[in-house]
Amino acid sequence: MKKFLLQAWKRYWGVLLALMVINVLFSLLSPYYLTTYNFLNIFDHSAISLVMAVGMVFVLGTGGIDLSIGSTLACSGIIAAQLFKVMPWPLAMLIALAFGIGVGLLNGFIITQFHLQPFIVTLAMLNIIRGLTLVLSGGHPVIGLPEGFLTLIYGKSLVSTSIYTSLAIAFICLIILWKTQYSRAVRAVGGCEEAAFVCGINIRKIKISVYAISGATAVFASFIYMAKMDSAEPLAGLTTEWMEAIAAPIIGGNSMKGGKCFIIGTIIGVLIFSCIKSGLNMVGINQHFQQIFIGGLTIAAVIVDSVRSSR
Amino acid sequence: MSDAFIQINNLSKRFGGIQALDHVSLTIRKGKVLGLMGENGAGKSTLMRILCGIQTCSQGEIIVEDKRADINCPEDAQDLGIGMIPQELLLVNCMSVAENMFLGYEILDRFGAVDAKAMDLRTQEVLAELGCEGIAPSDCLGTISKANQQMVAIGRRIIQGGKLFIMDEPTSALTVHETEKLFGVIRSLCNKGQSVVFISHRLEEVLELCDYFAILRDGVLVDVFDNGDGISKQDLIKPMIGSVLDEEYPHEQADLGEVILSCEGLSYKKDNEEIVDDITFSLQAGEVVGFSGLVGMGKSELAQTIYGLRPMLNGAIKVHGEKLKGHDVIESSKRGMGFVSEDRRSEGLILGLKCLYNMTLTCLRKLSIGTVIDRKKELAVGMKYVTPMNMKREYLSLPANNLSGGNQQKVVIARQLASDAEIIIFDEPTKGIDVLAKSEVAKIINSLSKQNKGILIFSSEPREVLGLCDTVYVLNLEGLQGPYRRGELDYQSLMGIQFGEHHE
Repeated sequence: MKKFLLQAWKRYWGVLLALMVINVLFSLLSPYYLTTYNFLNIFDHSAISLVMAVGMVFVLGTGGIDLSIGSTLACSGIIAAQLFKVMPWPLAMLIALAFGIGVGLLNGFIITQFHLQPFIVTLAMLNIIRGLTLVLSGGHPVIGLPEGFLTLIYGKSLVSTSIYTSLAIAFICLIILWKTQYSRAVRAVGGCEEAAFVCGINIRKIKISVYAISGATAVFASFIYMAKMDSAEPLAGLTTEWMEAIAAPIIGGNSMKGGKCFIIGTIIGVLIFSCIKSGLNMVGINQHFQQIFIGGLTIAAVIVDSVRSSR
Repeated sequence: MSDAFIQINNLSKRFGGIQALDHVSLTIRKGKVLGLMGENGAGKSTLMRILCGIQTCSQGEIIVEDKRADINCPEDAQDLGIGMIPQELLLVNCMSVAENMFLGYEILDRFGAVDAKAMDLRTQEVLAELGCEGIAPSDCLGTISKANQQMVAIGRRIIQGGKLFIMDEPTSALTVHETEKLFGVIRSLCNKGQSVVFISHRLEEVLELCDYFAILRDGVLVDVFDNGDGISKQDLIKPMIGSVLDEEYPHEQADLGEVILSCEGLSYKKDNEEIVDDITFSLQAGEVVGFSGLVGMGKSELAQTIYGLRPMLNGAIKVHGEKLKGHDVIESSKRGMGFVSEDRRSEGLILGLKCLYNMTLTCLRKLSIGTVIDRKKELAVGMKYVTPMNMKREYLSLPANNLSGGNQQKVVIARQLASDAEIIIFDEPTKGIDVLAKSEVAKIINSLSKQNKGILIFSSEPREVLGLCDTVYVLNLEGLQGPYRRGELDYQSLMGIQFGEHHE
């Protein structure tokens, strides 16, 4: 255990320090920042990005990227919400989940079958799924979600269940990445594809599977989003959520070049984003400026990644 | 019971219009080392890749331990105990030593989770068996030396329980001492009844190590014979190239001119962060100066420093007596320096680009009107170098990737010539290219010196330095030794200096 903590500290001291500096700074700037209520709020806000980010860790591990998650989030929400009206809610959730995984499989299939850049394929998919969302919803939110669904995902207590849900998903991914053969294969594909091939790893299967995982986590994020809003929005996931889901893992030590899969770092990365957003709100900087900030931070993260890997 | 581990019968393979292998029949014996010889492009790699399931054959059969085997993918070969340690090691740099050793074949505990502890232990055992005490299972692969990476690749095969180890140029990155260690490992594998196929261009090595030889030429197996006292290098070379090579390194003395390059008190950092200092030498027009030394003494790094690829800590570089204004590639190429990198595939060539375009990359300004390239002029430049370099015209329009190592090297050299460089720095000019191409490259270097160009050669092959150079310097632990004139050193004394002895 001691060895594990030491290793974690060695790997994450940089981002932990950044997180601390951010918190100290905003605590000084606003008396309302360092309160239990605000921190519950920060964790609550983190849940959606975190769930998507841990899925993205797998994709980044293979050296890929998935830009379509924001659209998948919106579309699976609309599908689930519309199905809630005609069938039992657990079944509707399963169908929405199947949809998300399907989108991921399709992404992976196209990328591996035709040897295409994940960037362009998932960018196109982003548009396709967003369009599908608008067609299905007619551009209007779907309201009236079943009580059972809301209780399961969001709960009714002060500490919303979404925090536990997201941490549970992150924990499952952590175990998968830490303990399974699968995670080694993912990192090998990202680290050196040819080496992975001669080691008998089915590269195609691995690549397709990571997009399926990222599609699935986008659906879970969608559930949290819907429960929070009490409706399904066709324009959900359009702003910074999906950007954070890519940038947070990079901040947390994962690389755009692949070969790395760090969940703990990703959690810290997500918290950095949430703390900054919350802090900016507190000191009265409006939402539009925040978007500029998040974009800038993303570029900073990629620069850090590039500097790190060139050393 | 026969002593054959694998019997290959009538194996053929075609790539498009090229017959890569033509009805090859070969026996791989148990407990013996086979030296598989042949020039680049003779079909050695193709044959081995078929055995390993990376490629499939067009025709023929493979019999493993008296049973017909269908090898269609790497897993099939693995199940039969056939494993290859390729020249490009194919390990994952960002993973640990232990993770690499077990990649794809992890030890699982009873819950189906990877058992990191057990794998670390086993890795330690194997590393000890190979005599690699310096590395730990948790070390990141990218941070350990090439030689140790080689050992990890071999360890990987041992762990997977291989019966046949195919090693493609395993010694090209190793020092003499490490090579000896590797030979020890190979012999102990054979004593356990396992078979080894050894591919190397270093003839001294294969004569020392191998039990028998198989020689391929243009996809045809031309000869198979046992190693013995009477076997010499010529016996290997002759069937490989189909004729006797009179001289490996032809040399003609060129007239020496004025000093065109001089380095004074140069110091720089090696890859392992150690500092080498006080490098002082000069180069005259028409002179070939060689730098010899063991792996790890900083030869390549010196070459890179002189060309401006690596920061210079101290000292001065002068071209025609005039100090360089900055220290970067742009300045050195402007002042007439050219660099032929050790790693032509990743640093020298743009593999997907036509050879012609690769050649003219550095002299495009000369060939252009404004920014528009004059295609006719460009082709003329290419044609100018094709004949003297003994290349085929058709090569110009092929992507560099499709050429053999020797021809790729010629393309890189042609590029330096096309840009009118008068000082050409060669880092390991004949690394990984075959005997015939080696001799051709040597001829080209020779003719360059006769055209009054100054040549610097950095090589870990002592014979190459002795055969090609007018002046030899040696980098050893104490720093730069020399200069030694041509004829002053022989193989033995050069090796002695490399290991730190003092020359009388």
